[in-house]
Amino acid sequence: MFKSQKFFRFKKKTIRVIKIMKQDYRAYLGGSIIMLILISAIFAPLIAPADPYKTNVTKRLEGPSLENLLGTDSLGRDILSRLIYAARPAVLVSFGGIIISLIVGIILGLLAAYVGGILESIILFIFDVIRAFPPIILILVLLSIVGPSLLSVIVILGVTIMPRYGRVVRADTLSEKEEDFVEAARSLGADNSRIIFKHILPNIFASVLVLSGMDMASMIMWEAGLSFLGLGLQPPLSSWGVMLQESYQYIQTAPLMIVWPALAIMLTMLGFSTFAESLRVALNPKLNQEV
Amino acid sequence: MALVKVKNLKKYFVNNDGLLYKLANKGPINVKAVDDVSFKIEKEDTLAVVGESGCGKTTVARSVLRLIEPTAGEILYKGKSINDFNKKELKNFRSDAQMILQDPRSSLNPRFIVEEIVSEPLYIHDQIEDDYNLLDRVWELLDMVGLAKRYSELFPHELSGGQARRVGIARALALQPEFIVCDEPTSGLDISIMSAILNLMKKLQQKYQLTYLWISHNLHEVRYISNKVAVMYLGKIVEITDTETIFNNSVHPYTEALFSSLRGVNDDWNYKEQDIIKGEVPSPINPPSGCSFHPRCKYSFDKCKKIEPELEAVEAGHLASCHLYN
Amino acid sequence: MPDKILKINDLAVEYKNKGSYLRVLEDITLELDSGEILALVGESGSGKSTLGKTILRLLPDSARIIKGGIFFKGKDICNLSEKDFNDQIRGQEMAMVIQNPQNALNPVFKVGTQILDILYFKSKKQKKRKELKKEAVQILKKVGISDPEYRFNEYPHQFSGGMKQRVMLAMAFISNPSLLIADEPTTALDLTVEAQILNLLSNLVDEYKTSILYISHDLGVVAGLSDRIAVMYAGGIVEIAQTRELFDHPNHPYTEALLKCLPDYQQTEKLQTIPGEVPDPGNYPAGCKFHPRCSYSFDRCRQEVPLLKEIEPDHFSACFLNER
Repeated sequence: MFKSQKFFRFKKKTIRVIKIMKQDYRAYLGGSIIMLILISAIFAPLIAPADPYKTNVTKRLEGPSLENLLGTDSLGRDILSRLIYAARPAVLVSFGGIIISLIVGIILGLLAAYVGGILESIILFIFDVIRAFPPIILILVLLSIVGPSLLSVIVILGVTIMPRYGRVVRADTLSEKEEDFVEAARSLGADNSRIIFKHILPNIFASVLVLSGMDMASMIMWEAGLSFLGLGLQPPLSSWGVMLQESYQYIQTAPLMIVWPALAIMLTMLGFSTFAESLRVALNPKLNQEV
Repeated sequence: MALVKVKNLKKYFVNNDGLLYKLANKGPINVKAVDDVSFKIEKEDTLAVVGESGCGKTTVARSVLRLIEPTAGEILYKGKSINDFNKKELKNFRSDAQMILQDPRSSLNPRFIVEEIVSEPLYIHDQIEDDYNLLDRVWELLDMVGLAKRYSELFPHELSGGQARRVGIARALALQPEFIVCDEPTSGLDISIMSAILNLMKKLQQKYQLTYLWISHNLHEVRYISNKVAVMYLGKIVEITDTETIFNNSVHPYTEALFSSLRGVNDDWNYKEQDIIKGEVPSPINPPSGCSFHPRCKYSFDKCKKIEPELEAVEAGHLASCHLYN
Repeated sequence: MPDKILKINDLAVEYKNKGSYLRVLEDITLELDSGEILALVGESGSGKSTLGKTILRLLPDSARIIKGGIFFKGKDICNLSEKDFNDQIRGQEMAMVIQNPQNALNPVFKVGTQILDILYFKSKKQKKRKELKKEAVQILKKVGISDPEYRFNEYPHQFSGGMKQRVMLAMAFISNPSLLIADEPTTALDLTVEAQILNLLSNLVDEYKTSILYISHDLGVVAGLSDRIAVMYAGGIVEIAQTRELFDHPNHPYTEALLKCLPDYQQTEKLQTIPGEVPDPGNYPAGCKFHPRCSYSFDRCRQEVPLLKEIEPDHFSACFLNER
């Protein structure tokens, strides 16, 4: 298999994409931020300087010091360690949520565009129903039914933003379907699955990719917001939202405390969106002359 | 036996969408894109279908390849109706009959390199046992259309119009077809590129015994490439005969109008003194009564407004639908 | 002999591209009499559209004229300020018709309104629009639009491509320009409609004594329209001659090759082709730009650049073969 022309071609195309991204500062910026977060999430126990759950009431609300680089929180826990551990739910929510909405959105969008008829109407109706609710209300209602947990946050966030992908996929598929090269493939005898996977999906993936780069960041925001309202992760588990909520109460006495989780969220958003943009450019052969 | 035989092909597009329209309860509007067209193409012949936009020539091309289902009529390929093909027969037909689309570049997937484009038919029809040697086959195909090996690694946007056109031809040749439908393959190309493509197509036809259905709006090009010509107007064939007869002895007023619209570079003429046909092609939603050409025809008389002329033989092998000759 | 409407002297234009300059037009020398139709013919990339835009100053900011002058009615218009050029020349003395009429008409205004606007500004805002309506309808009628009073109140999308191009011609001729630059105005149209538009254009030229610079890639069309033809290749003019003279006795090897590419020129078994492709600006070969594709080229072609020389009365060609 590894000797086949197909594999060789794949390798060459991948090398080409990497080559282009190597010349793009956004790839470095976004890539290194994402790496940083992934490493913190995976190796949290190895990196974190202290136990994030160990309270020490004698050291409450201290500023940065050599012992606690970013200071301590209201229970005297090390903020840096909590921040590092909190990368885990952030990664789970953003990747998990986006994967769910991508899979469901692409399948429903393709079905709507390809089958049409009554099925299309039903799918579009589902999209509209989900979009008709203000997201916060929808999420609150759903969460109150299934109960707050990380998994339910992931699933519900994924479902809530799914219609965006469904609509984009459907609209792009409808226009790609009429492209000459799709007609050419049909005249060559290509079946629907080949047309969808070889011709349509690769060409509509770019717009979906950019959307998902932005949405991954907003997923973290949503998780933070829900945790802030007490509907996401439950203390003592740490997430950036939980930390925001905790530090909010002490904004007068320890204003620095709220800065750290906010900074982490901001950095993550920046990382995902710049990396997605750079990937989109690299994947589109038209935007790049041969390097 | 003719390779392709089209019998009374009709394709109506129905337009009855929209709630308001249904409320008005007018019944569906039939847009007669192709209305009762018959012709046959012998093996190794080239039939050119000539006409202006909206005459239905592209619809004919797509129907002949079963890319759209006809409203009525029959299309026979080697004596069998293509609309009755089962899955396996259809797949064989798809490898036997190929299409070259009008726009050279947009008919190529922008994310494929040339190698993938040219080898796609081979993958679809499982003609690759071991794709280790695939590149050799791709290079061979590129060589057939006069492209060097290095083009196999380029993306469509890196090709010029003429090169992209050649890649499209190479893809059509990959499965060693017998029949190729060419939908205005030279439109939008520069003069020198156009002549190169015409030469190539003619050479390929002789070398591989190909049969062409050639869609075009350029009569001069048609004279060079084809041996039979069908002139279409508003969904119907108005004149069909040998190429030489069309050029020396055409009878239908519309054919005459097409000739006088573009006389070419050989003789001294100008648009100012030219007898120019009036009016524009009417909408197929609401075609004129009688002969559909009569509002633009300078010879038209009473009968033309009322009775639709039949496509009848003017002489042997020369059919025209005009009251002047019947 | 009437005055020359347009005279271009040794013009060169450069485009800025990634820090370096690409010369897209070079050694352009050309004259246009009043009431004359001169066709600029060339393949894509020959610079024919760029020349049209240069004359009307429609080039993007990245382009600049580096040499030569454009004289319009004896006046150098290269040195006019942008404001003077707009007030005196563009839309007044010179007009343009472009390839896609659908892009040139504003889709949200009625066709009549758009014509009225031009008439209104032409009258220096003196006359009321209502008074001008009759004139506008008259103009529509003149360019062959049937039922002009009714059509006056329709929107551009209700017009066919041919009718839109008629409207464009009407608008261009309102100010009675001395020079009309037509950039492939019929390429998007059907054969019979194209013939109608060109017939109309020929008649308008007769009536208004307007000179036309007709840019086209189609030699067959130009044959029936123009008085003279200038053949362009890779940013330069290689041959200028009377239309019939050019077709009957082409002098430059490129012109000859181009004609032999046409299926209707010589009905032979095999069409001639020109080997290679038109070079890109920045990759122009040294010497004569056509020499790598020319079957007659010799040493001198590779070293020196040939200039347009009069080889016969009113027949100019840029080829060293004439000097051997």
